[in-house]
Amino acid sequence: MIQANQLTKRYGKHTILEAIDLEIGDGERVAVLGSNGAGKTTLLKCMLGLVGFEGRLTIDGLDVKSSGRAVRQRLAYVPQMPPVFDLSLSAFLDLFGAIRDVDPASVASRLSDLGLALDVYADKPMRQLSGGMLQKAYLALALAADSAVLLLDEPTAGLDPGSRREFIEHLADVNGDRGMVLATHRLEEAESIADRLIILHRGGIVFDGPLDDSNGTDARGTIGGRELEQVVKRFLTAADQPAGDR
Amino acid sequence: MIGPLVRREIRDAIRRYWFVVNAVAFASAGLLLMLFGQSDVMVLGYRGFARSLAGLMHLALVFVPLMAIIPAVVAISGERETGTLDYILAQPVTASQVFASKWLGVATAVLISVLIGLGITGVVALARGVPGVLIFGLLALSLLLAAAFVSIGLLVSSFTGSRTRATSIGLTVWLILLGLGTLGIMSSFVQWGLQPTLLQVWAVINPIEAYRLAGITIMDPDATSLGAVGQALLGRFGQAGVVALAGASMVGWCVGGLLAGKKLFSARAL
Repeated sequence: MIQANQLTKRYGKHTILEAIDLEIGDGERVAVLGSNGAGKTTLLKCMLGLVGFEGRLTIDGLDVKSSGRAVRQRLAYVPQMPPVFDLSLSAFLDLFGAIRDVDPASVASRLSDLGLALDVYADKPMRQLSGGMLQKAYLALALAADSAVLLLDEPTAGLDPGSRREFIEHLADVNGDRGMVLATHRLEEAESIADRLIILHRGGIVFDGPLDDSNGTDARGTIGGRELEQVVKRFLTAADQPAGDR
Repeated sequence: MIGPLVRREIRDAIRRYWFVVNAVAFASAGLLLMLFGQSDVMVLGYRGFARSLAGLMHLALVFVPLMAIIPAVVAISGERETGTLDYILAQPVTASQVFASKWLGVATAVLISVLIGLGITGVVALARGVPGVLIFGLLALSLLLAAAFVSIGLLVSSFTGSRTRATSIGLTVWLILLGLGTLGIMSSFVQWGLQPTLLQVWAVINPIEAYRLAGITIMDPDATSLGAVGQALLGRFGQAGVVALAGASMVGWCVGGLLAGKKLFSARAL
């Protein structure tokens, strides 16, 4: 279970996340939706202990600040822009497979499921692989890792529409016991994968509710029967407007 | 979980050109000094092999810190720049483990490089009758100096976010320790009449000066080329004392830089 109490993150004078209270249950699949700069990536980085923050954040009861290593053992992360290591694909998979104690055959099998044949690309330097291939490699590692929750930070950002669809289908097929936190700004991705939607706007949660009937609540009360798409549009397009205009 | 990270660091370092280039350049310069530097003519207080070894030591005190600090300053800042560091830190490892793996990886590669460069020259020197104890003494001091500069480089790298900035700071530190610092203190000494002990303290805490002090003291018991500061230290602490102080200074930089870098890196990582 992921639990955040009054989670606040500031960079200098800028508040990125403000007093977030959040609870994500075991095996729950949550999409965190928000426009650019809403705080989605920062929220995931807080969960991973990659940035300092105020407030309290625990994963399975473990404090992120004091038990970072144990927390990260429970989380597998797919970054937004796959970083390119100065390694061949197989060396990359071996390195991070060894760190996470993952069976290399399991990674190869996941990679093959994702449509990337390791025997063809094993010796290729990562810098020669396309964004889609890299993203698949990162996802294969995350899927093969023995972690309770997948943290996916806009994993389809650099993919073409076809690859994006394929990628999302794979994620939707992931074992149901596994929790997932997907940061995205695409509602269709959230609908395909998640069963709960959180909308972040200007560092705060403005909507939190199930995706099936959109009966969540916004900051001012129950949204009720309002169309989910309208709700999402309202917050995603509101980013550039002054607060008084909305 | 530190093993795979250390292995990757060593593999990376060895695969890159600097490792071979440094070893070959250092060995070539050392061999030239050894082959053409020996003479029975007394120059600057040295005679025969001592003169050649002194040349080698002065070559090492410029070369070794540079060989160590450049790969060290980019080790973390480079990964921060490319975004790979965040992914490493997102794994079940601690920031301290990542920092330790960086130190072990860079230090191993640099020490091997120094060992090859100085080792080849040392073998030639041994064949020409230079006492082994002098060669091993110089080698041990050079390895200590290299380890100290790996720590200093990683300390710089722990708080910098780009290779360019880290390299600029690293080169500035190297230049200050190599001579600019001494010149600055000496001009301040003349200008404001500072205590001469300041120069003695600087000679001991500056790892390059400490290396020079220990090297000359080991190779030339008369220490004729130590200069006034070195002579004063020798008079105060004796030969063994000066070598011990200089060694402690380099070990101090090595351990102190490592601990301070680890603390800064961990604080910045979270």
